[in-house]
Amino acid sequence: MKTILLFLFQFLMFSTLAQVEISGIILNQSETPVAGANIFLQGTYDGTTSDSLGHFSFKTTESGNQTLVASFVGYETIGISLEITGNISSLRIIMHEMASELNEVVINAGTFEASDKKKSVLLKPLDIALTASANGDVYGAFGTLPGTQRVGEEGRLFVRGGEAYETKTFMDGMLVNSPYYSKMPDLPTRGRFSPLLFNGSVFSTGGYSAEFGQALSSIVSLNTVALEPESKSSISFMTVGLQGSRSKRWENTSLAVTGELLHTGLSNRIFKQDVEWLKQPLITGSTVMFRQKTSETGMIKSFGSFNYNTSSMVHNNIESGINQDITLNNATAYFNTTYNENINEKWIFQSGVAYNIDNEVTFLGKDKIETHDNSGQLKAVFTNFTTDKIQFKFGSDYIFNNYNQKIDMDGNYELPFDNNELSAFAETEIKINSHIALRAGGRVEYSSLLKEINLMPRFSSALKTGKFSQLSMAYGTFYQNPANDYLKFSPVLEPEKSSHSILTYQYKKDTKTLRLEVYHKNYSNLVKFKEEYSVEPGNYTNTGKGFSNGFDIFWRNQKEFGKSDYWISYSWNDSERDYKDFPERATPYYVSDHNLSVVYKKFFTKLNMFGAVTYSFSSGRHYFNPNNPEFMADKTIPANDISIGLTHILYLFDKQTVLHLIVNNIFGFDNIYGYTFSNTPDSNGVFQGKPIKAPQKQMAVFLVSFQF
Amino acid sequence: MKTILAFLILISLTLTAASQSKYEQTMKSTIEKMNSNENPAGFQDAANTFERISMNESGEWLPLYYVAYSYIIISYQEQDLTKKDPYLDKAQGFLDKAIKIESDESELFALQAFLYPSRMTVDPMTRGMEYLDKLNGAIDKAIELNPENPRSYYLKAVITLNMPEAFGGGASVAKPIFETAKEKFEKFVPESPIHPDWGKEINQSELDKL
Repeated sequence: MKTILLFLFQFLMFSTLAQVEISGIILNQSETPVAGANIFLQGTYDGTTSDSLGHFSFKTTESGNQTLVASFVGYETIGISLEITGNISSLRIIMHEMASELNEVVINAGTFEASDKKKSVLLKPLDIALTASANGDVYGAFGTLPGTQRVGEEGRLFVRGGEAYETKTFMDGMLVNSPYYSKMPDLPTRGRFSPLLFNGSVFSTGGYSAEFGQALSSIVSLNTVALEPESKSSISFMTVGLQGSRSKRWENTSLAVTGELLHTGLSNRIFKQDVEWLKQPLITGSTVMFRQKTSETGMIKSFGSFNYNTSSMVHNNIESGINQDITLNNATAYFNTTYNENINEKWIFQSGVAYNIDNEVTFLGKDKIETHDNSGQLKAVFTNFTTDKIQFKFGSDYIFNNYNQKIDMDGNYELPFDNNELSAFAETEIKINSHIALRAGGRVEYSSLLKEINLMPRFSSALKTGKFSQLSMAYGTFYQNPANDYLKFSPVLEPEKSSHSILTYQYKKDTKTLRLEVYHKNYSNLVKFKEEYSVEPGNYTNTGKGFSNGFDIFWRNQKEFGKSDYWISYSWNDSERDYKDFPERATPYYVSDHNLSVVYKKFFTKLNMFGAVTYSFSSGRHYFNPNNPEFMADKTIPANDISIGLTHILYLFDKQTVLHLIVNNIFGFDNIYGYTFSNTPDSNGVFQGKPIKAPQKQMAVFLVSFQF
Repeated sequence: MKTILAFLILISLTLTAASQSKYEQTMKSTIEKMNSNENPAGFQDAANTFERISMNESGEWLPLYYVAYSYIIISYQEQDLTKKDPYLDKAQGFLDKAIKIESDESELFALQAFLYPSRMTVDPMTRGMEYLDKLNGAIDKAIELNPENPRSYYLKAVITLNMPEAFGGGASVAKPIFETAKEKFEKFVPESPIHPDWGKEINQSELDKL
């Protein structure tokens, strides 16, 4: 009896006496209390939650060597060794905020990125697809961002005082040689690829990574979607043609095919064009996308696109004073395949192959110009993540180019050239701490045609100046081979050169973003000539040079869903060049000093309608007036445009249906892009001129799309 | 002596029962505490306690279920859109672990269907379509695994109610689903006191509003 009682007594003693209390406070690095943290002894139920002042206290029956663990959302979990012999009080535990994308320093001078996955970005892929005035064109949407200049009669991207050819496009890291449809004189073109193909894109207006070369001003890097999410089909009827798509998804494989047939005949009848078409533009195109997941981290992506377009018009060539029939036939095929895989936890391998065929036949009256431009690329990149603070990347690419132009114009001429371009790059990015990041690298390029080796240093850094703000800078030099139109006449030229210096300030808090950027660009080795289209030796030289200075402002406020979302971008640019056949340094025709875009979007929940409006303004552009003794001294009037887009989604015949209407220049502003003048003066000694305008003031496109 | 023996047997039985049900008791008291409060701090405390339990009871899916459930509630209560995702990432992590333990549990897929709408509210334009597909998939699976789980129907009704009529949503379509949920809630008996048993009241109050 006694022993039993003793046993019971001991048991009770044990359970009460061994209980001790552990208490303390939890703070973060800036000594602010962390409320709601989970504090407990590892391997036991014993623990508690810190209160609003960071205090905690709990009882335990454990003793001896234990690990006290503290964890909380957004913080790194920590463990502290404790030896429990009695009550422990006044513990001070410092928790470290986890480096998340939102509070981490990001190198972003000169860069606009659109992504669904990353949170630090300013744009979403849908922003690009839904921007009014862009007409569903990637380049049109980027044209509403700061650093771009609107050149209405071109439709291509002009970045920071650079010409359109100075911007290069990459798809999944591979070069796209012909990103735009071919172009009639004074009529704008557009990109070949639908923005819906891409789930992420980077538009860099300068100072970009050493991975990219052969672009003096800017790069557009587009990433295609991975596996298609599901099998589906769509068919769209537009006032300008037909589009269809079909995608099929298997477990680790997907295949998507699109096709389109665009014809502006009907549309041009409604919206009269100031163009005398002999054959209305016809575009046929298709794309094929194949994806194969090869392992948990490995992916093969293949992309193919085929385009054929044809049109014919009467061109009133005021320079020579004659009306000329122009017929343009273009066939383009582009393929690329990339393979990416994580070799192990520390290494990523990326590789790709691309091939581009571009055949164009132009008839100018009876004259015929046939251009064949074939190019291909091989690329491999290795990235090493030694720690999460240091990233090292290196790679190489090889690009070949076979160009041949056959001209049948008072005799037969051939202008062929071949080039093999070999490049290598290495770049390292170091996060010194959560406030400072540096990226330094270099690129070397060798051209077999130009027989020159060029070395390009690239440097950028970012400094976090506050919880929501950061300062970034970038410097780099860039080389680009002269345009094919010069190389075909004179293969002894050197690459053109530019250097960029950029300083960026960014403030991003909740839904608001402010971004200010100043830059200075220097151009040298630009192609200069006495006479265009001349094969005379010494006609083409690399003596051209110029500069471009400016600043950009970007403000975005993206409120909650259903409320408004808008961005404003303003760019100021001052640039001058002495290149081509300029007699002196002057501001080139495509530069407007001030560019402003206001992009507004709103979803009307009740109407189930998405509305978008874009207002854009460009100040006057310089043009050459032979009647004015001062070169390029005349300026056009400013250009204005208000475009809208409306999208309504509904169910029709049990199918998801999208109705989409876009109207460009809804108020019919009479915009003048420049003037062309006759080469010869009239009887009064005056050179007669003609304004370059949009072919029609207003334009509307209506689309009905069924998905099933 | 007999009485003492009886007393001893009784005590030893209680003691073993107590140690066996320490898990159940802690679960039960934490569930009660969680249900008796309304604010995020209370749910954070509950999440922390369930997380501690889950680390000691590695074969049980219920503690993981409740950690995820608490974090989902916190994410709905959080007003700052940029702060929702970290909570949901946490919830998804625990839910994934629970599904690994009990891959045929209807409640886990119903909870998954409870999580997705919170993800959508962060960025409806870009996430809407993607998560709507996932959400419907989760509800279908929850119903398939247990047609008597009332929470699947309640969640389906709420989603339908919030969908525009043009997409086949709206009050008139949602009402019969709420009614089905009501029937199922009335018949529903949880497997144990610590099994999921929520949604009956909110379902009724939603139904009363229609």
